[in-house]
Amino acid sequence: MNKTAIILSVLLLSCFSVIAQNKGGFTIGGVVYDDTDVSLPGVSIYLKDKPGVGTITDIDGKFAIKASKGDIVIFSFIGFDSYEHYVAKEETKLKVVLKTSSTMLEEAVVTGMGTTQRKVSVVGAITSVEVKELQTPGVSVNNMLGGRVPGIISMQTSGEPGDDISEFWVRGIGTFGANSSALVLVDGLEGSLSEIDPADIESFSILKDASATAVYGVRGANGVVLVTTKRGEEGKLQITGRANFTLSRLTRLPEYVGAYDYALLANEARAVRDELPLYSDLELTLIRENLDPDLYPNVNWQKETLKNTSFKQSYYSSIRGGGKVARFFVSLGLSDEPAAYKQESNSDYGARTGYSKYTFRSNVDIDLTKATNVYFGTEGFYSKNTQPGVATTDYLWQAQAMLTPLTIPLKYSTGEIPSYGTGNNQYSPYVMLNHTGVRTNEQSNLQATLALKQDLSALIKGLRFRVQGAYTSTTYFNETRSVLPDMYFAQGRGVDGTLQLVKRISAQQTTYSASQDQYRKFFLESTLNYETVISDDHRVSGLLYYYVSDEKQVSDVGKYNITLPSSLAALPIRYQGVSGRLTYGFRDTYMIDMNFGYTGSENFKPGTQYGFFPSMAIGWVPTQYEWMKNTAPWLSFLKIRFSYGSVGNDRISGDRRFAYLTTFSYDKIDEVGWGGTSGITENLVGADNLVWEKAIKSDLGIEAQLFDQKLSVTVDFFNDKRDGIFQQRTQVPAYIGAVNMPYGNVGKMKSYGSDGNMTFTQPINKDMSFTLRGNFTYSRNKIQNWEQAEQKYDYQYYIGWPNGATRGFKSLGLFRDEADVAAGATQFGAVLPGDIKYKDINADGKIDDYDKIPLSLTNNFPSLMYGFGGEFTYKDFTVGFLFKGTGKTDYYHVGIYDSRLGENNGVGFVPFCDGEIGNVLTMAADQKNRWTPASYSGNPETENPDAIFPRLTYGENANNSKLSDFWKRDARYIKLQEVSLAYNMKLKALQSVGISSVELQFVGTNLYTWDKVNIFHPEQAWRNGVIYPTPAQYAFQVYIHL
Amino acid sequence: MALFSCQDFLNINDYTEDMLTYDSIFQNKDNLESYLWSAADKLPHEGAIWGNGAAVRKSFAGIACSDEGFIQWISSGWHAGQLIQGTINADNIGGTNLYMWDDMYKIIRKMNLIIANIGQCTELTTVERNLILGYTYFLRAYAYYHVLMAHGPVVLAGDQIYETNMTPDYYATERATYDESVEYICSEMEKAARFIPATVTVSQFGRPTRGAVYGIISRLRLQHASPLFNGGGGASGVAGNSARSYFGEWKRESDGAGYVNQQYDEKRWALAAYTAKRVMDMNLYSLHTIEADNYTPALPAGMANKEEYPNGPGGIDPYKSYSDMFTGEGVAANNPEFVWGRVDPVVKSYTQHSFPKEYGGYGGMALTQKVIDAFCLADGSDPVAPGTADCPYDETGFLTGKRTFSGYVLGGGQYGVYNMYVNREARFYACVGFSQCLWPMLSTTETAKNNVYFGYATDDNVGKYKTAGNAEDYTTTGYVSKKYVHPEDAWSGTSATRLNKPFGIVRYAEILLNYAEALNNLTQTWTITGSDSVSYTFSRDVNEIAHAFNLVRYRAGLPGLTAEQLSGKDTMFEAIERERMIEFLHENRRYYDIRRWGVYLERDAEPIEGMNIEGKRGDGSYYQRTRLDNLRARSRVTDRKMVWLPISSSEIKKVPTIAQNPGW
Repeated sequence: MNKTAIILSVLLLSCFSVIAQNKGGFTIGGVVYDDTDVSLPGVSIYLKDKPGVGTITDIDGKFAIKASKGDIVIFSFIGFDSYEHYVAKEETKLKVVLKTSSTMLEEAVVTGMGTTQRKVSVVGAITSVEVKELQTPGVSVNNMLGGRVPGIISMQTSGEPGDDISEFWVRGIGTFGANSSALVLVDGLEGSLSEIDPADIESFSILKDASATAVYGVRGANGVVLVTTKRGEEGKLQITGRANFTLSRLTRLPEYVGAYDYALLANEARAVRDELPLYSDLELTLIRENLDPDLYPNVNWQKETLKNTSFKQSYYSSIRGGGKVARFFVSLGLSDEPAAYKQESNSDYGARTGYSKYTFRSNVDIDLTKATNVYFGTEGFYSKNTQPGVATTDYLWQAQAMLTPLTIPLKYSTGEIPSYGTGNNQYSPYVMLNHTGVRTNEQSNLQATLALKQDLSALIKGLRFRVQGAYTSTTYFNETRSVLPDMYFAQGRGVDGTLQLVKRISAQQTTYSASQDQYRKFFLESTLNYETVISDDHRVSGLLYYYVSDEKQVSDVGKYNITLPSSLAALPIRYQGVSGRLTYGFRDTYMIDMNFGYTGSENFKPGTQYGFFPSMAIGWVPTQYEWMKNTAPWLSFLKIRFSYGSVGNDRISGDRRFAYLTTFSYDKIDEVGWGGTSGITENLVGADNLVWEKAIKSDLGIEAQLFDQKLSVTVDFFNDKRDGIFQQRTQVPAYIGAVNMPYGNVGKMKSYGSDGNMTFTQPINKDMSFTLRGNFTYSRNKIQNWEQAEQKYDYQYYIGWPNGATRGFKSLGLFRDEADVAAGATQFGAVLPGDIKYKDINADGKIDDYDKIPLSLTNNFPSLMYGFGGEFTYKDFTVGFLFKGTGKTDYYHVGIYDSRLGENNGVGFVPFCDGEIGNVLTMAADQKNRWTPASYSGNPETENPDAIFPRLTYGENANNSKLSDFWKRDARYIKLQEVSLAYNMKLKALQSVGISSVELQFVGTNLYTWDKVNIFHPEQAWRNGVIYPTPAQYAFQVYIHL
Repeated sequence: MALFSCQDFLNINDYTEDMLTYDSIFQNKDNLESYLWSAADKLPHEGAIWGNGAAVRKSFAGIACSDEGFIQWISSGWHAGQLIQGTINADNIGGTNLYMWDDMYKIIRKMNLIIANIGQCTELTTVERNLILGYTYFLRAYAYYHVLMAHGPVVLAGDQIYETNMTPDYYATERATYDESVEYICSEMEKAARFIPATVTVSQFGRPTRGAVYGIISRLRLQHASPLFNGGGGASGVAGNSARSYFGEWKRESDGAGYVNQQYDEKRWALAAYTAKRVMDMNLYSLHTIEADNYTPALPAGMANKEEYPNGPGGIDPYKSYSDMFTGEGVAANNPEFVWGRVDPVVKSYTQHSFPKEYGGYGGMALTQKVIDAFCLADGSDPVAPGTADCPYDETGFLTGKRTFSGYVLGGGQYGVYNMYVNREARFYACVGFSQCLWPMLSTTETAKNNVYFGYATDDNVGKYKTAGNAEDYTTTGYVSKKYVHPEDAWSGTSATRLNKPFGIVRYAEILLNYAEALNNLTQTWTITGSDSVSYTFSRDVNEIAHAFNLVRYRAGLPGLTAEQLSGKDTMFEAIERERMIEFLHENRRYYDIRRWGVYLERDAEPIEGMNIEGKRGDGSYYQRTRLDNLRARSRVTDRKMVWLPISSSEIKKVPTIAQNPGW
């Protein structure tokens, strides 16, 4: 990596540009401190009434500025009161102490359309995330949000490098329509959080209510995440380098039984169902003593497949600086994360499984005139995911859960590679990893932005205009080079004891295949901004915004042409809209915002493409009153705000566009009959009167700061009513003769909840301080209308239940005895004592789909997510920790369809699930966990009514594999998400070589979890170990600031 | 960036212009026709009468659900088998291929769209426009006809094109009464008939002609006059009570009108007579006959009338005249008997169900003993021992030797043909595959698979227990339907192939028998003003009845009606019922006939009989009339409600004001 670092430095240095020079009589220099005596970097210093002259403090708070006698030097920093210094003489050791701002009135928040607003005047529900909080080593920003940011519910479903990006939702899931994800805007452009290096982020806000998102119109209903990246700053060149070394360790890997236990249990599973045992006593002896590792091997596939640890490295550097005319920010990052698979280094065709990524960003601002600014930004990334040639790595995990220790050896003693099963179960994970070639998925993305900002103060004071255009292009390139060796299966031994091998798979020369996809987007937006303060009391601002976008992807054709002719399916996806915001504030005490979005989507019929989405918010800050300040001096700030308004959602479903169009196709006519040989018929009936899905959102929020701002609290309560959720109609009668059911705006759902956060900061003394933080998000939803085909029983309807409510059978425990079986309803196949007994809900004497009832309010999706953490600072040391957790979250070990597996999830949990291919957890080997008939065990106590596993079955058990609350568990957890130790070194010796500071961080992530799942990670529990678990990570990170 | 300046940025009209839209379909003559024919292509194949719709769009319950056939199949696709076993109900009917409701209404909507939009097509001349409208009106009415036949009273949409995305109250509606449904369908068909040409060219065989329209009207009018739908229809006994007992209490919610009329109206019979006569008077149709040749058997010596056809059965070959219409031997397009017919691939594919498993078939399309016994002896006498001098009849012993006539070979195999099957009328041999019947199967070049005598006893070559695999693939009665099987047809052996086969949707024979039946029910003279504004009078004129009826009898090589048969309405009805059963065997008429006559419960409940397929040929135990007592026969359901299929409960739940059929 040394080489890379050098290249990197050269590259960055070559971008170096002019540093601003100041002129004047005296040099005023010194250090700026805050009121706890900590030096303050980044403080703006400028001369009053002399625009264009200024600097900022360096990393140590040092500054120097040229000034003339009589000038007034102003020191200004967000969160502090400005300080003015009258220049009388040259001073180079000035000590400036900035006092923490008493009201924090000037703190800014990014509010949408890339504009910032003073925090005090914000009346929408906006979470502004401290960027500092996102600077921990992690896979992506997505993974940092849950438990750290109020208003976010997140789920990480895999720990596999490249696939370990958390999904997140703003205030939970608000619609059962096609799209419930938030709109993510990076510098105003739709983007993905996972592609940004956290160090590039300047500000990060989440817009949650209608007032904040209204301006996004048809796209804002599910919340908006706004990210702005760092821009160049005038002043001293700031160079930052970061190196990160992370050790990942797989934890909570499921434990499977060895060969002998497997054989014993297999015999039990067969015997208790009146089947012949699988292994004779002789074979059992062979297995126990491991006498014939070819025919009766004992392979721990987990050990053969996994390394348990992997080592990730990532490097990042940025340069920020500029002068009076131009400023820039450039960054470059790279990371390489191998997966924790064990691979033979000498294998010719082994895949180096893992994920690597390269990112760059360059933001340049140029002042053309005093009033005109041009911004040019480019960013890009390249990522590469490497997997085995024959299948995705998902199969490695499946194989661990399904391939028994006894099926085949790693290799036969004669050197041949074994094969078994069918489909992807033909290869052992060892073969997949080492002998089947490589597949790579590459993605590269480039984006260029050009913006022009014009200050129109010459016309009207406070009026600004900005226009921005962007082009994004993404290329996907997937390649597979697959190869197969000769593979055999040993059927037995000949009379002479030699292994009888049958060739199952013939060697296959390398085959190559590739697929490509491309995406591009044009985007143009312009804003007109007006801001003014009238007679010090009235703050008025206005915003008018216009945007238009046009995107398309090659694969869209294939995605949408199921329902549309290709020529339509390939049309670009377009948006266009105008929106505006008017704010008024009186003495920072009363605020009112009025917003509207008038935006359109090509998804609707001409004439009904545009929707109007108004919203309003009001705020009141009682602490502005003098009497309040006097009577409750402990309450330094209180704001109460309320918002109400509407937002839209125009995405219909994964594969439908232009649902208003009736489409036709040519069809072949049987050459008998009425006439013609080719006909024309409707393919799909267009939906009359189709519009966007609409959300009516309201939000009540309270923000407070107490005890000299040591404690600050924000709590929001929200209510989101969705109406017109897209659904394919089911209740249109057949007699009207529509060829199929059209889409309609019929679904209705509400979600409600609360989120909030709290921060407590306590300086202890000059060297010591600590901060405690906590946040929570609670979101529940309820379906109010879901047009469903008619059902026989009321409990089969979705209405009145939360979205995703899990439906299955109600279990009554295990059948006690034959009499119990005989008395029960007819279940699935022949049932025996020890099998799961279901409740006959409709009392018709048989258990069938009509007996399925809602078992859980959600499946796997938490309705409460919270986090708390803190930092303790002593001199240059900081210790931090973060816990995150969820409320009660149901999941099911058996009966949930797993699309990766292509079958129900029980295979990883239930012993012998698919017969020969079904592994057994050690848990099942423990007699107390399974029900065994006394007739087999000889001990009546083994008929344990509370056993985790019912009577064993060799192969799938039609009765016990059904989704029922027998398999329901709680995935609630509290996790020690992060512990960090940071040391900020400011050694003289370093400074002498030009390094202003070095920061060392040790960060442990995902360290310990308290939960009831225990054997798997709670977020992935329902996958029963058939997934790469979220690893524990130990990172060492060095920041070097030049 | 000029891209963004365009005003209609979100408008995709530029891209949809070259696409098919309703506008571009209705403005273009070719597209309009394609749309029309495509809708017609959604109709069920009229020949799909064996109850398995897996290979086709929809199918009719016909054969499996009446007393002329028996099958054991109930697997997926065999919905008719499931229906007769009682496992079809309102909840699952919607998923069956018997369910006409959904698909027929799709056709109706398409036709309404054409009617509403045909004005857009300026390319059309008035003649062309009328022609398209004619087909459109008929197709719409014909779709309703299918709904009516399968489900009873329809929901009349009129010319309305319903909005597709409305709330339930918009869709609330009620069914029309049976009478309203029939009147609507008939009047629409009358409207269509004006525009539809009387003939089509040979290449357009299958396209409805004016005669086809009139033929369907004739069928409907006869049904409408029949006891079940006509207040008992003046019939005696149970049939006279049928309308009341089936539908007496079934009334429309909103106005209390009975869904099925309870007042007998004799005029309907006159109307039925007129609509049949109208087809006859077109002078385009006649029964299909083939001249007698050297191989034609001589008429029985004792037959009184041996005049040349059409005055008697002389001079024609009855076997070929009848059989060639079905097997694919004759040229269907030139067949003057097809008032409406078409080549139907389904018929060809279903011959496979008559061939035994060992010879590439499924073997189980059984005929009932009732049908066997209904066929006359060759001289027109009943098959009652000892028969007549010309045609002895015996239910013991076997034919020794071989008889060959009209290209048909009776006997000559290793084992003799049971005497029950000897000396029968020509249609018997055209229709029935009995034990030791010769199956030529000439298309295969494998000689071992040509000219095989199939025997259905347990010690025979294709008996029940010879069948490997599916345990339902054998005949349960010892008979299979052979009507559509050509001597060339084979399903096994090298180069085995089958001839294409026509299906007579409306045969002239039906029109003749319709006419005879309608007249038979008249007690007074009726004057009907026809669609040509000419007045026609109808009364129970025995000569008219005999003339029409005997054309069918003579063609089969049989003597005409006796004076005794003609003398009474009831005796004549018996003759008509029996003639229709035989003449239209496995043509999907019996299912509807026994229903409209109000005798469905009685006829269908009679036990299914056949030969004893558990018995042996060797000891004669096979040749015993045996009541079927297998699982399927025991659970065969006859229920008043099955006069119609139910409407899907899903549709009823969507629109609760649509009344379900009684009993479902």
